[in-house]
Amino acid sequence: MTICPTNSDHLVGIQCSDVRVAFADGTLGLDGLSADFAPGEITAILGPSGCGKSTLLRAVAGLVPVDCGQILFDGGCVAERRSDLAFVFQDAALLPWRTARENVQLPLELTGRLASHQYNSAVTQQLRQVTLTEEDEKKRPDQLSGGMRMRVSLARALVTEPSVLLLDEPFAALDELLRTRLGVLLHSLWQSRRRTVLFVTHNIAEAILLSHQILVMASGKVVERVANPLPFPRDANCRCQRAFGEVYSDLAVRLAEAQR
Amino acid sequence: MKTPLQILPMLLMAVVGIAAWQLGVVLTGAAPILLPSPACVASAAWQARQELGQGLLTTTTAALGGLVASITVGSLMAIVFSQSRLLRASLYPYAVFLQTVPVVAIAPLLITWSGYQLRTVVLVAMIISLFPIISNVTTGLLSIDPSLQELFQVYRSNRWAMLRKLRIPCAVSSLIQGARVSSGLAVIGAIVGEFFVGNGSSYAGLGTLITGWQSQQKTPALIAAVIVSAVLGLLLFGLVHLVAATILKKWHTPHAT
Repeated sequence: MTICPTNSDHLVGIQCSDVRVAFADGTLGLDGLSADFAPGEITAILGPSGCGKSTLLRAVAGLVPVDCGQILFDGGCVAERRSDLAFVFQDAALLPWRTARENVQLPLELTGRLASHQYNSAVTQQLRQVTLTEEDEKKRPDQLSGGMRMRVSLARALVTEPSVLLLDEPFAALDELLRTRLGVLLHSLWQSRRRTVLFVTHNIAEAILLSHQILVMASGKVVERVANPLPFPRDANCRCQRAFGEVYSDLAVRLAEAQR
Repeated sequence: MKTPLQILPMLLMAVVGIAAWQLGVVLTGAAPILLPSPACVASAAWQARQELGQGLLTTTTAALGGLVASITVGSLMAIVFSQSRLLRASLYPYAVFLQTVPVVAIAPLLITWSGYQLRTVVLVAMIISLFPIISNVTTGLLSIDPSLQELFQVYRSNRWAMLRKLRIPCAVSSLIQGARVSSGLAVIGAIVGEFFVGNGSSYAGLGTLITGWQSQQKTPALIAAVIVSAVLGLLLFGLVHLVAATILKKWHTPHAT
């Protein structure tokens, strides 16, 4: 067994080689997918619906079994590293009977990563990082707006200080303005503490603004890998840069091809 | 909570019903032994108030005991069912079987085992009100939002933590739905149990009074006992509704109750 460091400052790379995931009905979620996710980098994953983007994230998280191939963390360990990742779901997936604060606290209770007397400060820190106030944290999910729910979900994902963050279309249900705001928030969170991020989205501009590399998927495979030439830090103004336009056009063409 | 304006139509309907009853008695000229007038029933109820009061207390104890027992036993059984598909496949058909067995057929057997006492009536009330709890709570424990289930899997949550922090809280509203149905059934079970247990013993519930007054052809008092039984059913349903509203307030915002 390979022992992996669990130090929160340790950056983790992920290597997928020839990964195949088949569902119970015989359809293929992933069909021989190979991809490298560099330590501490953000990878955006684009592709048409049903191409296997979410399945890839679920396979990395160990939520679906891999039939063939392998997914390695830091070139060796699998199961150990998987306890050091967090997942943000499209629908926020908050427990409706818990307040925002109690939702953020949940991973600490489940993992036992901190002693219970340390919960308060860790949770408060994450809630403030995602700009939720003392008043907001006492509300239950049905009393929060869509954007606030997603921020609670982000805080919950970050509270265990994971090395790998998996985001499955987290902003898909939000309006354009809120998407941009939360994109900027996600970017600043990544800058304050670097971690390996896999980010599934349908939005090309969002993918370019947030990522180091962009993967285009089709039929369970990666059909295009685009290294993002835009320098960090980025803001909404970088949409005016020539490089942004070039990458956008290139990705739009690739996506159109993938959808055929 | 219903406002007086919402209760008014219901009360008006009761007044109309009583008036129609009185009119029916006058128009048909039916003998009091077949169809007594509302005034006659009220008078019989007043005269038998002590027996009715005692009967109400005994039947309430039996029905409430049966309901509490069915909630406890049914929830525990549902938790067992939710833990394994094999357990569910092996035991759930017997829970369904429990529902299909007519309680009047097994009541004499229960008396043989447990005797002519309150405990037996509670047992009958529990058996008849058990299935809605098992069925609803099992469904509630298993119908978990897939994202929430995956969230717990991401953190390598063990079976116990998932049960305590996810499945049981998710099943609370299903339990309440089951308890609403079971509250009515528990009253039916208690009265049916009393038909058998009260026969020739000192036990005095509403069911005992109903069979006794029926054999003595005291129709006005018999109807009074039936009305008190119906009121007991409503009270128990109201109690469950009140407890449910209090619990659900902690789960969701008030409009969700």
